[in-house]
Amino acid sequence: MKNCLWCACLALIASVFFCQASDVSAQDADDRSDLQIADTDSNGEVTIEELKTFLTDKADKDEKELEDGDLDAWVAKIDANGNGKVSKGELRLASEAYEQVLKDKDDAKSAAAKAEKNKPPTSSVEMMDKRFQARKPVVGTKVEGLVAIDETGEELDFDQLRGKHVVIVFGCLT
Amino acid sequence: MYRDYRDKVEFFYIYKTVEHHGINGFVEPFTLEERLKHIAIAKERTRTEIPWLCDSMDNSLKKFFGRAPNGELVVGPKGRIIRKRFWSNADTLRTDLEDLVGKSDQLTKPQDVEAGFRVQTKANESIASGVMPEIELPKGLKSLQIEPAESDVPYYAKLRVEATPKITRGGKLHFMLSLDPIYKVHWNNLAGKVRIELSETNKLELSSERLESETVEVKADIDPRRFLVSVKSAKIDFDTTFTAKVFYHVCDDAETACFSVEQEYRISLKYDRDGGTRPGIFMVAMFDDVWSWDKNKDGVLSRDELPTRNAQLIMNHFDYSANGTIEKEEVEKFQNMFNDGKGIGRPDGKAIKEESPEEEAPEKDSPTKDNE
Repeated sequence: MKNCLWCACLALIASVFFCQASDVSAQDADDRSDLQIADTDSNGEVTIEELKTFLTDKADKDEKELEDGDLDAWVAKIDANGNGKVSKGELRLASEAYEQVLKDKDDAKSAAAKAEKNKPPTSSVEMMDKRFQARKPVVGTKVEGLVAIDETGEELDFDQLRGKHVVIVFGCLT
Repeated sequence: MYRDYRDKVEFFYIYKTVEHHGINGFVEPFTLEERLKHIAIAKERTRTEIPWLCDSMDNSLKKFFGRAPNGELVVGPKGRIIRKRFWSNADTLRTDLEDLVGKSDQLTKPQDVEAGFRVQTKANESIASGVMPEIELPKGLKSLQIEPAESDVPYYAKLRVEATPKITRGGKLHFMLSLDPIYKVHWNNLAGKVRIELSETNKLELSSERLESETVEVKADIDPRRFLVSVKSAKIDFDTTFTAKVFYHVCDDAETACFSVEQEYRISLKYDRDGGTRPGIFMVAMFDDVWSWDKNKDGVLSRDELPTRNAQLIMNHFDYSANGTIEKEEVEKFQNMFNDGKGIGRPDGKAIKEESPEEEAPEKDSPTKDNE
């Protein structure tokens, strides 16, 4: 009975050790993989430009719209020592910083939208625009499955326009 | 803007339903071919280089993008809406594009391009207009959903049916038969009057089921034919439909051919959210007596002279040259779009004042195409 208890303790210690060891090894592998992906010229160092490319690709993969300043905000959070190069440790902060910047951005957008919503309209156009903003489709809505007809009568699928910014203005003869 | 950004950004005008029925005579097309003809006219008259797209006849684009009469939206490269505004604004759009794709190397100003809206001139001066007596219309008329039947000949004249609010409890129906200017035809008064026969109207208890236009002294004219009918029943539902058979005689403006036409419509008591409004309904109220705003009496309206609340809206409508002021010629140009060049308002100069459609809240008991 005493031997069995001893064995169980040993097994528990061993399992904790191996679990931690395998976690560390998985984290290292992830970092190495991120480092390899980010280090596009494979010189063992990730520069700020490479980091920006890495983050742009990540945002692209997650279908997030990048705006001016997003990348700089991320880089400032990741390259904590500001030496223009990204260490393995700093790269580990990338995901965290990525989420934080997106959260900050959403919070700022919500605050701005709230302030805009509460601002009384000063003109009839502004009042109509205010109602229009609240109406569907709201900003952020994906435009898909829509078809228009071009001047020759041929159908044009809006999905074909992906990859570029598109400005559309509604109008008629009256 | 298009010239400055066309390398980086795709631009499209989307031609949607007619917003104000009858301006310059234009009425809602019944077919895609007719809507494409409107695009051809719009291109010619605005002289724009921007490509046009046409909304489908079920108005799917207008419905999806939120039904703004002059809405402007920017869609991002991944297909998401990233900017939207109720009324197109060149300055704001430029700021948007500078934010999104960077500043353009060139800055094209409105005066640098030959664009600008040209007002249609009457095709044939010998054809009369303004000869039909005006009829007193009830307030709050809104268009109803109508379905034109298949026809072997084009709908040279198009019917619009409007009803007073809460029509299911009784009220008035306004029938308006307008010539479609894309076909360049006029009424042939020598061949007979315009007639509308209504049938399957038992539930409605109409004051009249046979409508005939008044006698006109001229042999040819282009005025719309209008009829008012009372609905006496106070217990109808919105699913009620009835038939209107329309009989009319037209000749082409070149006087090469004349036609006697009989066409049929199915009319529903449901209000049509895409039916737009008639000119003179809300614009007249807004633009009546514009020169009273000219405080310094210099014959030009500057933005700070306009009523603050509607300054932007007025600029949007009148300032064709986009130079920031409204000149006498621009006011005349705008007003001449109404009543075939006779200007806005009634013949006696008294404006018809009704509420603005954009300001109106939809009635709770008025189903539309969307909530069928």
